Amino acid sequence: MPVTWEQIAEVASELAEEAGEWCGAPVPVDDLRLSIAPGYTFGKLDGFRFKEDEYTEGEELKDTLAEAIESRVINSWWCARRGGWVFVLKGRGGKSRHLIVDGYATRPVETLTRLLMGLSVCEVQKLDAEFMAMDKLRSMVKPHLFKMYIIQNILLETSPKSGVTYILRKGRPTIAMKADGNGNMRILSVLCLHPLGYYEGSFCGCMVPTDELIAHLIMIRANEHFFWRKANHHRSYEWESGL
Amino acid sequence: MSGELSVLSCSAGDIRVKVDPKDPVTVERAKKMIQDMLKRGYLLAIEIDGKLEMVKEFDPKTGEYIIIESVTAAEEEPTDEPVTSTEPVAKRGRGRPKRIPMTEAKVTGVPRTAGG
Repeated sequence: MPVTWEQIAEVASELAEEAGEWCGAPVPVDDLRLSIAPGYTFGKLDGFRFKEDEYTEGEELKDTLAEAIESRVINSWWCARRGGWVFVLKGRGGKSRHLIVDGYATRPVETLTRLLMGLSVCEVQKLDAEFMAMDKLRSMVKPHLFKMYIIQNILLETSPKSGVTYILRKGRPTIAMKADGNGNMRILSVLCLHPLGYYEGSFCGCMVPTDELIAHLIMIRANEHFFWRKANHHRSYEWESGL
Repeated sequence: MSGELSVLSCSAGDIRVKVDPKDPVTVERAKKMIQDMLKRGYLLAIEIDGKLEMVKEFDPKTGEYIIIESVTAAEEEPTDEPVTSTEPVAKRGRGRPKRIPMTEAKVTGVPRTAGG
């Protein structure tokens, strides 16, 4: 009888619990590298993946570009006004020039790739776990907010301390917004944080999406500074924001 | 009255343990879980009057969570200085320890995190 990934995940979690890690253990999936929280007992899982794939990281764009035009990238930055990356290049003759790569044109492809890469994570995550997490969330928020979450996959939470409104999304980073005084809301940052770890190159964490959302909610309510300190901050125009 | 301890979990979604003072086995199990979690850097959030606070320590002998309750300006000892505002303002880095029995508290554990 074949063993399923769900069964492997269950055994891995039982072993982790015996070792005192009550949150269980993540299971690697094809092509996605695990990124594990520092200090986790089974830290050796960090960086593990079953096989190498061929997709290039965004950071490699610089090298590829420089190689192609026989120049050296001496500076680069995101230009919100032009909606793209500006590269300052120095050629062999010492002459400098700049190049603008349209960020918005390439981003949908990147986002779509990450979205599809995450589908394989479904193999190791249990439906029952997601339902359990939803059940817990239901006990933490008002009925109309829970309904909004189930139907629209988003949850709204405003901090009474800071006045920041958070848009918590299922399987995506949390958007932090604040009123600018003129009746408009401004995005402060998009905060990405995964309890235990995540699968690099996707939006997926080691835990089921609602558990991840609960972790965000708990941190916002218990210690907002801690949440901001621990989370990775993405700008709204970056693919990592999931916007 | 009984407390509740839950942990966000990879395979189960949410592990829940009822901490019933009449059941010494579950109380001992919960104590072990709490100590394991604090030792491994989990965030333990305790619900107090509908609000969440972070657990700082746990006393296994008495079975009590220790939290640092934030002190607001309004609660501080009176001084000779004139009061300019009635708005309670949380003072950073200040607080007083408070003990809460595990058999009366609702606590959720969140493991260490990684920014994605």
